[in-house]
Amino acid sequence: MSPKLRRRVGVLSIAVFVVAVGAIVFFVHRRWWQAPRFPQSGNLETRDDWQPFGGAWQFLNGAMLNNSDERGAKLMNGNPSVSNYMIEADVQLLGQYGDAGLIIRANNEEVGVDAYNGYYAGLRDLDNTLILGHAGFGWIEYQRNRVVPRVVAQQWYHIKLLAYECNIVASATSLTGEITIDAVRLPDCVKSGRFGLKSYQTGGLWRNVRVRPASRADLLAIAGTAEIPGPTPMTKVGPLGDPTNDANEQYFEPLYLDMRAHHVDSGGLPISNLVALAPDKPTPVAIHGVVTLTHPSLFVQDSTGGVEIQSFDAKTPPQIGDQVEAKGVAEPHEFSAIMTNAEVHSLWAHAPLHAMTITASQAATGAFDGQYIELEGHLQRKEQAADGTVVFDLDEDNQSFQVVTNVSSGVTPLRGIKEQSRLRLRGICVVGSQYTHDLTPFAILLPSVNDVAVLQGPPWWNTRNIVVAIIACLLAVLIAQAFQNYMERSRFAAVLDERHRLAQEMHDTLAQSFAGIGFQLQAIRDEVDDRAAMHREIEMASTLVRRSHEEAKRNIAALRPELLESVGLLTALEESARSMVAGGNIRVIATSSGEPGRIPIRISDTLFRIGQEALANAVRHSSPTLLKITLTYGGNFLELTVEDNGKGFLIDSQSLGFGIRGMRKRADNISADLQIRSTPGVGTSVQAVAPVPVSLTRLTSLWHSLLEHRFNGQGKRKEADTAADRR
Amino acid sequence: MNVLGAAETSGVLGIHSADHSTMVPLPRTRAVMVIAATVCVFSGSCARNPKLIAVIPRSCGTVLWEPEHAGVTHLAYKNGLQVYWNAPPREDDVEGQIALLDQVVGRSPSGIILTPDETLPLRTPVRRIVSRGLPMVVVGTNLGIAPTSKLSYVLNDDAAGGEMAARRLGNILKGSGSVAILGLNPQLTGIRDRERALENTLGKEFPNIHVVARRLGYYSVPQEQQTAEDLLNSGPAVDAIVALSTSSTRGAYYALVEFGKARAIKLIGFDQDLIPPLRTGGLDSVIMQRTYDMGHTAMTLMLAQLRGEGTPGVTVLPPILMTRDNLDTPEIYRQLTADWWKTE
Repeated sequence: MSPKLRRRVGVLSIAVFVVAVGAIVFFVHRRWWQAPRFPQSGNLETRDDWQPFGGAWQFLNGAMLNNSDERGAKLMNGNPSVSNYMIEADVQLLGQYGDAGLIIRANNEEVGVDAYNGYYAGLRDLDNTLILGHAGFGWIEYQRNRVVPRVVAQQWYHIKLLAYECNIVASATSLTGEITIDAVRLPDCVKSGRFGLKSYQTGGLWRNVRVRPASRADLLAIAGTAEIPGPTPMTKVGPLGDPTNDANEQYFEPLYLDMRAHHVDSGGLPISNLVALAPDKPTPVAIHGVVTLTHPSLFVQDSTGGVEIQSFDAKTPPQIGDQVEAKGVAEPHEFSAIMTNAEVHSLWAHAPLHAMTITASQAATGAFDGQYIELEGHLQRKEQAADGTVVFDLDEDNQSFQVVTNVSSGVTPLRGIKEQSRLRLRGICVVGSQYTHDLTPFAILLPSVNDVAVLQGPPWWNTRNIVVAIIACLLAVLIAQAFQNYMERSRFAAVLDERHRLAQEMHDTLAQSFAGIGFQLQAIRDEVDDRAAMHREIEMASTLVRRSHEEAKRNIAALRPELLESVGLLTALEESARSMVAGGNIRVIATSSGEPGRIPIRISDTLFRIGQEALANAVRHSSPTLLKITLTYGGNFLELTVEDNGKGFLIDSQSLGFGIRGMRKRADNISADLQIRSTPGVGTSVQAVAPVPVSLTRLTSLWHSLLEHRFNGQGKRKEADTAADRR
Repeated sequence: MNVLGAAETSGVLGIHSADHSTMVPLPRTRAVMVIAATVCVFSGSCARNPKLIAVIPRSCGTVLWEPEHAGVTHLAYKNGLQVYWNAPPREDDVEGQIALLDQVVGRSPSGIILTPDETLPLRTPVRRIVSRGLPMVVVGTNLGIAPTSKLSYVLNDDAAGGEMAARRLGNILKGSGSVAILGLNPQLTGIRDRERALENTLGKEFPNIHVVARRLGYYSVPQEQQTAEDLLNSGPAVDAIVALSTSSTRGAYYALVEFGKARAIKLIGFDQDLIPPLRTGGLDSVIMQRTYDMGHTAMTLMLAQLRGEGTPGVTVLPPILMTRDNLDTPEIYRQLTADWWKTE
């Protein structure tokens, strides 16, 4: 391969590579090109594209609820490229010793306590403060200002959190109208990110969640001043309880309050014993256990079993994972008991149970009624109930059962679950008719979206895919058939063209020659008495036969494209010219200029025939001493010039003989421009300029060069075969 | 200076620059370099990112483990390393910790510092990671896997902690009395070592102090509180309680407050979590782990492993007895430092 060609190959390869990489990168990072978008107006908690990271989230009674005391549970939404904006919401802590609030400009969210990179402002009841800081897989608290009168669980506060340039400002407004403000101006900051809801070590409620673009005026409106202080990160952990300040009181007061509230009645019954109580006679009982579900009903479980508490009162709404004491009336049913009119009293938070792994057959026995279990199954159908929850129909172990998800259908993880997938589920096993409708032996009530895991997606060979595959195959067959038909038609048309051309050639050359031979032979017959005349006529007939033979050889040679390919157009013309002037004093000069490219055989063949005609005319009629053949390879054209220094002629309409008309016709067939110039006493020039497609010229030459480089040996062998064939 | 200078690379192809200054690239090499540069430009991956060390503690955001974060990052930042710090939200979520470990390995960190939730379940994941040649430092729990050039341990001297608690008991009970031990956990070798050392030392040095009750421990404070309340309600009378974990210490303290015996029954806890009651006397003392030093030492060993230097297989750090008297000393403050964002 020549250096020039190598360079071309290199440039072409890099260009293709760059385009491919550019396309890939564009698709991978296409969000870079997305314009920042803000959600449409309205309360965002009703949207269906939230993404949970831990917690037990559901939209309930007009508010987004996290019914879990998981530390650092997050629910995220929005576009990561949004920069200056404000999020606001009404926020309520459900329990104590935690915080709940809003996230802004967050990226890289994961499940974990501070597992995201962004800013958070929240209300913390432990020290009655509005906190503001940065989470970057670790927490940096910039400010905490005391909330007046104080942070109380189950009370609404309105929080605003604004990010403008590197100013992060938060405010909390209590029901009584007092406003607490945290504000910090950072030297360097997270420039953009998503928004979210977050709670730490307590459940929370969010409503009226709104996001809108923020301006400097909004910043000043919340901060109240343009003098926003720089960050002064506070040490989060250290020896608390210094008697010289009020931290001691802050720390102990809620601790002691909570301790007094957590008095445990030691006379609780094991839950499994409830089913053994007297039938048809409600019995007052007290139980201790851990909350496993809160909606649609409250379920509590201890080490012996689970119970559904259908009606209850509670000072603090119980949350999943809370250890509670329940005092109420128990009614034994077939497989377990149900409690009603209970007083539920939270003892401690954050004591979640582990699910017991069982099979569908075991669940179908009813032995696990009301208990938190884990099992697997194949999803047969997914339906949406009127209240927006999603119901799954599953099969496993020759058993069918339903799963009531108890969460909004729009929560992102549920949308992606496809029918026929194999799922692992954790939830409360229930056998009551209100859940099973007496259609299945049991149903599963799912606490949160995190309790569904897709073990295996649906098999590829489902009905839809099979139909699509069959249609695709049929289309492919049809396309292949159409292509084959097209190729057949093209080949047939080419054959017809070639037959037509051969007929024309035979008519123009051999037929005329044979006519001459016939004529001469007839003359011989007529003049058989004149021996001298007979010899002359026979000699003429022999000449005609010889000429016809040569003509036939030339035609055959011209009909073999590989011959022209193997020696090249210029060489072929030169050889033809030399054979015409063999034995004479006419000099033949053949030159070429430009970079030889790959020329379609149709063009080279036509130019060869034009050149042959021009040479023949020159030899026959012009009596030249020099024949000059010039071939010029241009970028998009090929120019052939045949010149002689013979006697020339005056060009007029009568001078256009059959030969020249034939040349014009040939030139027209390849859209070539034919110019004939002749000056009496000076000579004649025949110039044919044929257009050549650029891409074809370059790409085919590149391709053939590559092939030549790659299969050099084979090429050489082919050339040798062609030469032998020619011989 | 970057301590990893020996392994530092430069250029888009990650080739050592020193040996290649006189080389004339071949046309093909040049083409590859052009392509690589193009990829870099388009993908934004040209910038040389610092090495990432993944640190997975038992829990994040707690008094006990946040100083480990500070200890790790102070040294990491000084040496130009990035730190990924995360753990499952619950300390007893072993499954979650294993899943997080898998996830972290997928990010191709230069090394991992792990504080296992439990001993047995983490053995296989850690052994697999070490077999792949990824440097690891295990903090707080000896998994039983022998240390190698790619696996080091930084442990709290739990036996010394048990001895320390026994001697504190001998001191405050004046050599005579009855004791309950709460928070036993066979799933953690460290807790087991504490308990054995405590009882051995009591038996040898304070034969008149008798262990009259032993209770298994849980990760949840309410269960621990219930256990302690049961003990106070119906168990044998005790003069002191030794709680072997943070949750059992907190649970025992709450039960003592609930029963109004926070001063009458002395409580010695393990692992810093409840600190203010030390000032009020509701909590006599806490045998604290040097979690800041553990993080710092773990990162020191990680750096040595990355440099290919030999490291001690097991480094044991003695605990500190934290009482009302030494609460405000620099030594205690150092172990409670949680300002991980600062440079050392």
